[in-house]
Amino acid sequence: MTVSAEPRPRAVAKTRSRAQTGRGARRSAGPFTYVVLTMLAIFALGPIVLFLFNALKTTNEYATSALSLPTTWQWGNFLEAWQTANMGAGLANSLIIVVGTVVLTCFVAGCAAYALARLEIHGANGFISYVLIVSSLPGQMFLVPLFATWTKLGLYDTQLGLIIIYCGLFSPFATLLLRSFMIGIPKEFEEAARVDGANELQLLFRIVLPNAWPGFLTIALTTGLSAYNEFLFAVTFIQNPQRQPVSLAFFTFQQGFTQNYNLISAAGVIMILPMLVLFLLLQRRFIDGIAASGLGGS
Amino acid sequence: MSATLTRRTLLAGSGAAGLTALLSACSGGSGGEAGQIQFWNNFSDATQVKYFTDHIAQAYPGPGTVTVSNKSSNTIDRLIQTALAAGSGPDVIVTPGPSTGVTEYTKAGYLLDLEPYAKKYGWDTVFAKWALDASRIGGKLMTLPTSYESMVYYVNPATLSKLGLTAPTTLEEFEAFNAEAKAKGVIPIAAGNADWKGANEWHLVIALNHAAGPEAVYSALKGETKWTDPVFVDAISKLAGWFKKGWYGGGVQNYFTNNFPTVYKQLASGQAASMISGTWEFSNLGPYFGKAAGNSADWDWTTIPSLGSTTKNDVFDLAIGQSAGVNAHSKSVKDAASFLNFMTTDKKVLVDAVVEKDFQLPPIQVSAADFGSKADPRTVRLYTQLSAAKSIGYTTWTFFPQQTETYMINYFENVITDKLSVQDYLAGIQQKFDPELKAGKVPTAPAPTGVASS
Repeated sequence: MTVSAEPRPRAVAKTRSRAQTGRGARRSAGPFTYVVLTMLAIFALGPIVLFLFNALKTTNEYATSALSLPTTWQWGNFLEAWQTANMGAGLANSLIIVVGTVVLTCFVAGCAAYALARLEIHGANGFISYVLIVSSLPGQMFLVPLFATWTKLGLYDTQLGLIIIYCGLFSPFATLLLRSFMIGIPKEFEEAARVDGANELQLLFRIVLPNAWPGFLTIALTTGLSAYNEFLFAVTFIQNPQRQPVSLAFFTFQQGFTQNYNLISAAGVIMILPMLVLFLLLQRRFIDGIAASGLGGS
Repeated sequence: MSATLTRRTLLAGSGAAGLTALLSACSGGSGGEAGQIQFWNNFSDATQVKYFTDHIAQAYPGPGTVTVSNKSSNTIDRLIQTALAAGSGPDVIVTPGPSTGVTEYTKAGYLLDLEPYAKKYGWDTVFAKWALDASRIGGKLMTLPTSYESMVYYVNPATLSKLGLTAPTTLEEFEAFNAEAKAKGVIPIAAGNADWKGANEWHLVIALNHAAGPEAVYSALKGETKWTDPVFVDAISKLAGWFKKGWYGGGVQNYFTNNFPTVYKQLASGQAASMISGTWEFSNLGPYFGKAAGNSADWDWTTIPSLGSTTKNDVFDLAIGQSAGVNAHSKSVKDAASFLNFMTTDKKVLVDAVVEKDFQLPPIQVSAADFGSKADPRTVRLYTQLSAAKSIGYTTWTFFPQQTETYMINYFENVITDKLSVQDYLAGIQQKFDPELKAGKVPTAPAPTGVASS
């Protein structure tokens, strides 16, 4: 069997990308462009910088002004936030939930997307419409029946239960994204493989999946980010403090009718760091994946 | 062919191993088992969570063992409602007072009738009568008050001394105090609702009970006086006028953007001359005053001044800060009732919690001798005066039905921003109140005078 697993469409995408870059390089950016980009950068980074400044203030300093620079840099806030909210355990729990969600979602969405993109399924268009409609429904609508079902199944207050919910929540978008990606893979590759004697599973694992790898990476990243940040279902379905993800750590800083904003800011900075690093490492692949799928701006 | 089979086997094996690893990583288990008492609460801060867990939940002698889960004030009611609607939920259910949610929970059959346990544990002799009466729905005791509180007038003695002012006791003194403080560039009353919109009702309670007077409120709660009566028009007009003069929080716009850290800081730093709030603030002020804040500031409290022509300055607004009942679907009903009895009536445990971590007492009889020498004198003074109070006022979150209370909170902002007249605001209150009174949703209120508050 001489089935080729060369990711040629990726090469095509790269060529297209290079061509686009080339066109952009010929045009020199004027001062207006720099002003707009600088403003956008401030708009994007401003809240994070403010967050960092507040994380380094004392309670009294924050109460005096939430917009000023810290006078003394309270690095101890990070340690206090880490210890008070037991963030080590929270991050470990988040890791389990994120990895579980990503693996399950990639599997479910991968199977569904392959079927929708490549197999002759009766009513495929209707199913796509159904997926689009249900993915637009607010989660609150099915909170109570889901709670009752999960309690009966013994999935309430378990991380597995939350992973399954997240998979249900994030699979529709992942499926649509991956389907768009798979449609872009030329059918000639599969036809050539079939001529060489490959069966359907071999086509999936040796032709489609290697070529759709950037798409999987994209849905893994978007799903992982969503699972990491999700709050409503986490707070509803996980009660045991030992199993709670890091997104629920903020409760620890409640003070009567208000919050300890310094420690919340410190905990927030700690919380965004892993995802920031991950995104910075994978941003090119992520953006390429979104662009290639044609579903950007979801 | 054999290669294909090997790959399948490998895939199946990998999948099974992955799933096993995932399942083992996801520790399972759900609460609600017999003998286990699930208790969800919105504690004031992390130190209270630890103290409650270590000194109350673990000190509970049984039957049953208690598991504590802390929730945020903003989400606890929704979480409990979701869990109860799904036939689950904690064994001991907390609500923000007897008027919020208790009637609805009772109608839905979520709460256990506690009358048999009231007889068993002798709660009628332990709790203040007004508190148990307010906790009854249709004559049945559905919840117990787990904490009670009142509204007080906070001052920073050093600020008053610097300004040459004393805490006001009458309407004239109150208005002169605020005018003079403002003239000296000081915010008369530190206030804000950016963190909690419900702060609006704290000020409404002051206007109703200390300007209109508790007799008028009592009469209106019984349906004998309309909320549109001139006595209420005058009281709410006064309050709205004070807001518009910039006495609260430094101006109406500032009131909407001030969060509580800013409010506490204003009182501590002398930027504000006073603060009107509830006794729950005792546990919140610590980080902004004295050693903890790296300053020499101190705070004290006194009673709310008389703000009407006939009202007194010794009126304590009664409030049940939190109520707790037993989940009718609990597998540990008797254990939950036993724990509820323990956490609301064991005087030593309760007083220790007040002394150590500024918890709030339930409305049970206490004396200064119960507190010991370690207690903050301001706390001892509060509970001894509060439990001996003869003139009482009515807080919206304890004695007003839920829809009326919600309307009062939400639409008061339209009054102080001149989008709604006082007359129309009060007509709106009456419109919400009438059907709730008819439906029996107004908690039983004690007469305003002649009874000690516990």
